[in-house]
Amino acid sequence: MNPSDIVESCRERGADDVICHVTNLRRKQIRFANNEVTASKLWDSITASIFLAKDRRVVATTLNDPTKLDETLDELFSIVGAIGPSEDYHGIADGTFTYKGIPVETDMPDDERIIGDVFSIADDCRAAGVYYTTSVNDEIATSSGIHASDESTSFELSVRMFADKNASGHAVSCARTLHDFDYSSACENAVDIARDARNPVRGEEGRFDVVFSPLCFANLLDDMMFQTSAFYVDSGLSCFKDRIGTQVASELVTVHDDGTRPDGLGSSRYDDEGVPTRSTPVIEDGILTTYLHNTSTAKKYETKTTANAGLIAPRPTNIVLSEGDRSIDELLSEMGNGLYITNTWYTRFQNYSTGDFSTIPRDGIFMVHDGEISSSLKDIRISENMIGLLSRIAALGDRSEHIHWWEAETPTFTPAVLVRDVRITRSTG
Amino acid sequence: MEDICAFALERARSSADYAEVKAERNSHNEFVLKNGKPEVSGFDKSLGISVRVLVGGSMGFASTNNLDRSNVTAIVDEACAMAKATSGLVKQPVKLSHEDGHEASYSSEMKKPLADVGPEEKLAALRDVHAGLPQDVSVAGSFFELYDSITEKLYLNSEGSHISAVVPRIGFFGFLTVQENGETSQVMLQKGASRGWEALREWDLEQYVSDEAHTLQRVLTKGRAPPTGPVDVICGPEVTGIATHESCGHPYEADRILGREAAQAGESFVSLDMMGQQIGSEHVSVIDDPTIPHSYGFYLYDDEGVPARPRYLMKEGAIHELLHNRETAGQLGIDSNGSARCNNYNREPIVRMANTYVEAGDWTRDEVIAETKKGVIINSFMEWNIDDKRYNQRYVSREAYYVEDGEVRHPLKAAILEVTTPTFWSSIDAVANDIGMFAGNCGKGEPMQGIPVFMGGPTIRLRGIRLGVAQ
Repeated sequence: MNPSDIVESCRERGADDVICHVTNLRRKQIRFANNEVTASKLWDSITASIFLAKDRRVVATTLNDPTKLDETLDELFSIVGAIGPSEDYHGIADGTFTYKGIPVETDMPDDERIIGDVFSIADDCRAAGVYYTTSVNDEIATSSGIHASDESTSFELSVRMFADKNASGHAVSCARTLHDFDYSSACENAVDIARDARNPVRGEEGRFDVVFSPLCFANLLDDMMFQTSAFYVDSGLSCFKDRIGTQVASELVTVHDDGTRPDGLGSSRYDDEGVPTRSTPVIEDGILTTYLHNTSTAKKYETKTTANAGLIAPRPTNIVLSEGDRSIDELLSEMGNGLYITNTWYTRFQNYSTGDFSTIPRDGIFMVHDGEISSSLKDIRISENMIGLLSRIAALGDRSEHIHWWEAETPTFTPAVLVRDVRITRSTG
Repeated sequence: MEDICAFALERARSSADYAEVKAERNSHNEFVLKNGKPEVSGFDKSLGISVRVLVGGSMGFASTNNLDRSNVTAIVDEACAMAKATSGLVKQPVKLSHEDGHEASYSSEMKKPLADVGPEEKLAALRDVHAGLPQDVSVAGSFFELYDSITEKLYLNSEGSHISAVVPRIGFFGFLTVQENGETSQVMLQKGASRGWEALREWDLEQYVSDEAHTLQRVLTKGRAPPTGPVDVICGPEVTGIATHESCGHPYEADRILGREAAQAGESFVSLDMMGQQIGSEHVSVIDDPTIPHSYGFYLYDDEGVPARPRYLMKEGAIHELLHNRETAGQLGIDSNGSARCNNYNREPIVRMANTYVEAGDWTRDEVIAETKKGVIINSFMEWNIDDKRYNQRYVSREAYYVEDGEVRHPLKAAILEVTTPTFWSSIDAVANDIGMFAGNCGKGEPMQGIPVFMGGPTIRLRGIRLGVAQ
C-alpha cells in the first residue's frame, strides 16, 4: 500500500482533503507472572489509515486488509454521499514543512537475558509484568502536498513485584533507545516498594496531605490531559471548558505537551496531519493557556494548530510536568504527616465537566509521620476533583520519570508531587 | 480464510506440541453526532490470522494481516521459535485441559441485516435521538455514537476442532450533560446486542435518552443530600449488574486467582481454598451465561473451541464455580468451562465473562420498596471503581431516591455505595424478579482487550448500610 497512490485515487474521485498513513508495526512481548514466562507474542501488521473530506463531509477508516482497498474507497465515498456536512470541520494542514529526526535504536536486546535479570532481581519477591520491543515505520501523504516518513523504536518493561499477597510494588522503564532502557532500576524500585508495603493496615478516611510518586501522578495526568483536547471540550467531556486564561492549577504547575522529546515514547516527526510536532505549554504557572488542536479545531477556536492531530480528535503526545526543586526525601519532610502513594488505578469520573472523580491506590501506600515512612496501608480510595487537586499542589520533585503502562496510556514525564488536603475515603462496611 | 488457516496449522504442527490457528474478518462502522452535528463517520475492515503454539510447555503467539504464505510461514515459525527460546524461563509447563475436537458452525440471527442499512439511515437514527431531547431540559452537551460490526471467525486446532462463527453486533454509546441552576450532571449512555438493526426498535433510543435527560434534571433540581446514618440500600438492576460484574465476575476469574493478570488487572481476594465458602446471603445466586441469544456477550464456542455453557459463579451465597480457560483449568486438573475470549484475531484468548447476572428472586420491586422502613434506592450510577483484588467497591448514584415507611419520598444527589465485597453480598436480604441486562465493554489483558458483555440482575436490597462520602 502506497499512501501517495491512495491520496491520488481519492482526489480523482473528488475528495477535497485527504490524509493517508501507511504504518508497518512489528512488536514483541514477553509476558510473565509468578517468576516465569507465561507467553511470548509477536505482532506483525501493515495498516492504511485514510481520512477524507468532501464538501465538509468527513469520513475515516483504518484498513487492515490490503486486498479490500478498492472496495474500501468505494465504501468511503458511498458514506460521503450519504452523510451531512460537519459544521465543525475546517480543513487539514497546508504548507511545506521540514522535520527533525528523532533517535531510533539499531541494535536489538537479548530478550531472554533481560527477563532472566528481572527474575533474578525479584529475589524473594514474585514478579509479574510485560516486556515489549517495538519498531514502527510510518509514511504519510496528504492532498495538500505533504509527504514524509518516520520511524521509531521502543523498549518497555512494566513490572509488579509481590513481597506477599498484600504487599506489592510497581515500576516501569520506558525508552526509545537501549541506552536509556534502565530495566534493572525499575525492578529494584518495585522490589523496594513491595518489601516496605508488607503488613498493611486499613487506612483512615479524611483529608490528608499526599506525596504522589511519579508512576501514580502520571496516571492522573493522563486522565487530566485528554480533557484538554478541543474535541473533548466540545463534547462536554472536560473540566477545562471556558477556562482558557484562568487558574486551573497551583502556580507551581507547568504542563507541556511535547511531541519532540528525543526520549519520549509519544514523540514523532509529525502529527496525523503531517504538521511537525512541537512543545506546547498547556498549563503555564497554573494558568490554562490552550487546548490541544488540529488544524480544524484550531480554526474553529480562531487559533493555530498545536500539532496534536489525531485523524479524528486532537490527542496528547508526551505529557511533561515541569520539575520542581525537592528531592523525594524533602517532599516527605515538607509534608511532615500524611500519605505517600506509589500507584493508583481505575480512575472514573462522576462528571467530566466538573472534574469530580475517584481512583483507587494500589501497591505501596504508606503513612508518613514526621517526614518518615511509618507504616503500610491498604483499602483506601482518593475521592477528588481534578482542578481542586491540581490547585492544591504544594511542591514538586526534582527528578522526572518516564511513565507509560496499562493505566497511563499517554507517555508522561512527571516528578513526585505533594498535594495538600486530599480527600481519602474507604468502604463504610 | 480456510486455506490459509489449514496451511498455518499444518506448518505449526511440524514444530509444536499443540497449535491453534484463528482467522478473523471484521467489518466495523460508526457514526457520531456531537451536539447535534455530524462528526467524522468511519469504518474499519480487517482480516488477519494468528497462531498460538505450545513448544515444550512454553506458549508462543504471533499474528499478522499479511496473508501471503511466505509471511504466514515466517510468523508461524517465529511463534514456535519464541516459545522455544523462552522455555528455559518456564517453571511450570503449560498443560491445556483435555478437550475433544469439535466441528461446529454458528451465527446470531439478524431479522434486519446490518448490511441492508445504509449510512443515511444510521445517521438519521442518531438525528432522531437528538431531535427527541426534551425541550424542557437544558442540555449542555451531547455526544451520540451508533456502531455496528460483523465478525466472521474461523478457529482450527491440532486436536481436530474446526469452528466457524458469524456474530453481528450493534451498539449505541454516548454522553449527555444537563445543566440546571449552574450545576451540571452527566450520564454515560450505552446499549448493545448481538443482532441486526431490529435492536433499535427494542431500545427506543429517543425515549431512553429523553428519560435520562429528565432524570438528570429531576435530580439536579430536586435532589437532596443523602442520609448519613445506616439505611437499607435498594439497588436497581443497573447497579446490581455493575456490582455483580465487578465483585463477583472478576474475582472469580481463575487467571487472576493464579496470578497471571497480576501486573495489569490485578489478582483476587478469592483463593482456591475458598471454593464452597459462603460469601453472600443464601438469597443470592450469580450466573454467567454466554449462550443467551442476541446478548452482547453472546458466543456458543469460546476462543479455544470449547462449547459455551452457563456457569453458576455463586449459588445461594456460596462460591460455586470459577471462570476458566484451558490453561487455568489444565493447571488445576479440571475441564475448561468455555470462558476463553479474545477481542480480535491478534489477541490471545484469556479468561473473560460473557453475560453476568444475579438470578431472579421471588419479590417484586414494589414489595421490596413497600417493606423498607428507611432506605435509599440507587437506580443507576455514573462513577464506579473497585480495587484490584475486587474487595473495595464504590458506585456513585446518577438516580437515587429516599425511601421512608415504604414510600419513595424525594431524589438524592450523589448517594454513594462504598462497601467491601463480603459486605455487599452478605447484606442482601431481598431479591426481586425484575431482571434487566445492561451492555458494557469490559477491559482486561495486555494489550488491553475491550470485550462486549452484559451485566444485570434484578432489584436487590442490602440491609444496614452507611453511605459513603463525596469529594
